[in-house]
Order: sequence, then structure tokens, then C-alpha cells
Amino acid sequence: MKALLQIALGIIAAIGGFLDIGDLVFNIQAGAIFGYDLLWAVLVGVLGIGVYAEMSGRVAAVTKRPVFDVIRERLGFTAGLVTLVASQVVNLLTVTAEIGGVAIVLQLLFDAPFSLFALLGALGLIVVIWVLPFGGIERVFGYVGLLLFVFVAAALHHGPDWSAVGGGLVPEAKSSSLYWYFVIGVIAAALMPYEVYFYSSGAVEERWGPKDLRVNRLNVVVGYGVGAVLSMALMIVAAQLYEPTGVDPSSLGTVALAAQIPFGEIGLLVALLGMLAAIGGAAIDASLAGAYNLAQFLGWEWGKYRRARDAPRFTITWVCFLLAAFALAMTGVDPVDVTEYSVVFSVVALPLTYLPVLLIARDRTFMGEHANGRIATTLGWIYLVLIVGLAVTAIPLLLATNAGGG
Amino acid sequence: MSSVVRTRLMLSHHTARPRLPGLAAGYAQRVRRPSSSWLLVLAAGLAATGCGGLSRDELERGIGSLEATAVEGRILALGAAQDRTKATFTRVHARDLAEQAQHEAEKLADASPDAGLDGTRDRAVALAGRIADALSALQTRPGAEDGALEVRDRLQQAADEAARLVAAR
Repeated sequence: MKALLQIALGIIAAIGGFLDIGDLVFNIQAGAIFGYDLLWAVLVGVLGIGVYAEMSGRVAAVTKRPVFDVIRERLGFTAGLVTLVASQVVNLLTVTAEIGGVAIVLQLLFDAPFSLFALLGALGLIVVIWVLPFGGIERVFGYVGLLLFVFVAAALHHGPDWSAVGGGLVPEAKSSSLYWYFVIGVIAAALMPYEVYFYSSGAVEERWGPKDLRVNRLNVVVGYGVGAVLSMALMIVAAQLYEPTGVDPSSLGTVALAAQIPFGEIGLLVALLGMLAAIGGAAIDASLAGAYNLAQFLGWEWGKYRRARDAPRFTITWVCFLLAAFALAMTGVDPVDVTEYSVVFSVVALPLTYLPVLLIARDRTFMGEHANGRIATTLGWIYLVLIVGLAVTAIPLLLATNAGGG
Repeated sequence: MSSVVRTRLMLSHHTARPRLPGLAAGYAQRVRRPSSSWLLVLAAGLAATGCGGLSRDELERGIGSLEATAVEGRILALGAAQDRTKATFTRVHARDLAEQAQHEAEKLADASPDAGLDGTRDRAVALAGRIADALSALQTRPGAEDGALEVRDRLQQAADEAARLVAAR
């Protein structure tokens, strides 16, 4: 039971990272357009984020230093500043999309104006972060987010074509640029940098030490495993329900409908509550990640475990992130569009985020006996090459496909 | 008949045909509008001056989007007719879908079709209006089961007509 409670950090990081508003719609769209064909991309993404989350958690546990601290030291001020700016822009876009997503889900539940729910969502999240301790936030949003398992139940209810599922787990090259746009989107969504900023800072918040390395691995395996299962379930449900009927999964309402079709009103409510927790969790992940990054880069006091008056600049930063995101959401931008652009643009920040983590994690002068083994280092380099490839191709593909528009 | 089989049959009703050509690209296009402000300004300018051309492919994608909206609306209406959903969800989602159909109608109406496509374009605009009307009826009375059944049938007819429009090209 204790171990189960300790994996909340991994679950909220994974659910917030894998199943924010953009992922919910993106995975459903991928299933509706390509059936089971893109399941393999989820596996590639989850293995990559698992490798780097484990490394960043291990570095935090052993050295007590979160990712942005490491970035600043290894890359120096100028490159660190570039990474900071890129990651903060992506964080702000992500929080904007999530605030919009929270408002849309509340609208689907209670039908009142978007602006009212966006305001309530932003203020509600500020109150939640202010009042709840870090562990409480993890548990509330992580475990309520598990209601998204209703999509796993929906997929099983309709009887997946297991041979097609197996076929979808095998990578396949296609000539369609739209296909590759979705491949990159699915992998990049799994590798969003705010996940490791949040995860490694969370490890420091929870005062992990070398004795917690087992908990770190458990968090990664179970947390990101859960995220991957839920992502694949969304794709499978869309392949079962929407691909044959030609439905266009363009909104969160269409995502929730996939749970209502098999389970009626109860399924719909469970799905909407799970989506609310996942999207709200992602807003918290990304806004805290923004505050962590800035505080760690500039050497401020930081941490939810500190009282607000003991870390005032950190506190002001995450509050400002949520308020700025609310203001941006009120400009009328489509939250789904915003998050999908942020996913694609985040790949530019990925190499600068993950390279320092890899360099520190394999450095025995820092990590001692807890430095990377051969497998972790090899996987780290393989994924770094992949990440650079994603960074090089993401923007041209975005333009070539008119952001997936063909 | 088990609920699983019943649901499958209801979903597969009239949908055993191949998907419309260009549908995938069509709905991705509707979902992800270019965000660059200069593109929006250019598009708005073209629409305002009536200079936006409409090729056969673009028309088919537009009709594909309408068919997708009609099919999704039919599923939504079916849930309302069977009292298996929440009225606020039906109202809000029907409104979203109606707005999508209306947006598609405006886009098609504002564009100048290539030679020989005027008739199809006009029928597509009229079809979009009927889809939006049906969804608005669902939005207005999301808890009326008889009304929802009628909406389901209207949207099924609209989806079939969209398929016929593309097949006729």
C-alpha cells in the first residue's frame, strides 16, 4: 500500500504529460484516421520518456539537483537561457491550452459561458496549489485521473481486433506526410519537457535520496506504463468507433462520447471527471514546471514544501503563469490548436533539455555508483539522436501538412 | 440482442461503405486551422473579396467534413433518444457541431468554385444548413427523446446525401 501511494508522482507526471487536452484529442484523431497503425509510436514515446524520467529522478535523488539546475551548469548561461526561454514559451502555451480544456470540460458538465469557467478553472487551480501540499496535489489529480481507465474498459467492451493491435505495435513506414506528422506528434507529446522538469523537481520536493531509487524506477514503470495504456486505449477506441463511421474527433466532447457510447451516462460522467483531473493535473504540472525552471535557473528559493513567504518569487511565478494563461485563453484561441502547436514546437527545446541530463546521469564523478549503466546510456544516446531528428523534421512537417491539414 | 451487438449495429448502420476520399485530410484541416495571423488575414481578405477559389478536392474535403459532423451528430442524438446521456453534454456538444456545420457552410458559400462545381457547391451549402438546423433542434431540446429520434433520422439522411454528393463527382 505504501508503495502504491509513492507512485503518485509518476502517475500525475505521466497522466498530465500523456493525456492533456492535446493528447486526448490527438490520440483519438490518430485512431480515427489511421486505425491501429500508430500504436507503435506510443511505445517509442513511452520508452523514451521512461529512460529520461528515470535518469532525471535518479540525478535528483542522488545529487539533490533538479533538471534545470543541471542544464544551467552543463550548458552554461547562454545556452541555458535559450533552453529556458524555449521551455517557458512551451510551458505557457501548455498552461493556456489546459485552462481552456478545463473550461471546456466544465462547460460539457454544466453548460455556462466559457469565460466564466476559464476564470473559475484558473482561480480554482491557484487555490488548489496554494492549499494542498505537493503530495496531496499528486494524489488527488493522479488518482482521479485514473478514471480515464473508462476508455480501457470501452476498448475491451467493443472487443479489439487483437491481431490489428499487434500489427499496430510494429513500426511501419508510410509515404504520407500526414502519417509522419502524427508519428512525430505522438512521440513528441510523450516527451514533452515539462514532464521531466516537474518530475525531477517533484523528487526534490519529496526529498528523495539514494534509498528512493527503487521508488523512482517504480514511478517510471507504473506511472508511464499507465499513461501509455491510456493513450493506446484512446487510439483503439477511436479505431473501433470512429474510423469505420468517419467521425471527426475534433473536440473534447467527441473524446467523452467514446465512453458514453458503450456505458451511457455513467461512462460519460466518469470520462469527463477523469479528463478534468488529467487536464487540471497537466495545468499544474506545466505551471509549476515554469516556476521551477525560472527559480532554478536564477538561483531563487523554490519548492512547494516551503511556505509562500519563504519562496515568494517562486510562488509569484506559478501564480502569474496561471493568470497569464487565463488571459491568453480569453483571446479566443482554440485550446486544442494551442497545445498541438506547443507539442510540435517543444521538440526544439528537447535536445537542450535531455542532453545535460544524459551527461550528468552517466558521470561517475557526480553520480558515483548510481551513474548510468551501459543499457541506460545506450538508450539515452539512441533517444537523443531520435530527438534531434524530431527537432529537425517537426517544423518542416508542420508546414508541409498545414499542421496536419493535408 | 446484447447491448454490445446493438450498439455496434446502430453505429454501423449505413456506414459499411468505404470512407470518402480525402475525408481524413478534410477533418484534420477543420481541426487544425493555421494559427499564423498572416494566414488568417490573407484568408479573411480573400473571403471578403470573394477571391477564394474552390477546387474539386477542397469541395470534397468540405463535404467530407459535413458528413463527419452529421455522423457524429447522429450518434449524439441516438444517446439522447435512448436517455443514455446527460442533457447538458448533449446541448453543448450539439451546439459545437452545429457551429462546425455553419462554419463549413460559410466557407463553401464564400468561395468561388472551379468551373462545373457550382451545383455541387450549392447543394453542399444547403446540406450544411440542414445539418446545422437538425443539431440546433437537438441543442434546444436535448432531453426530448422523440425529438432526438427525429434528429437522428435527419442527420442520417444528411450523411447519406453527403456520401452521394461525393460519389456523384
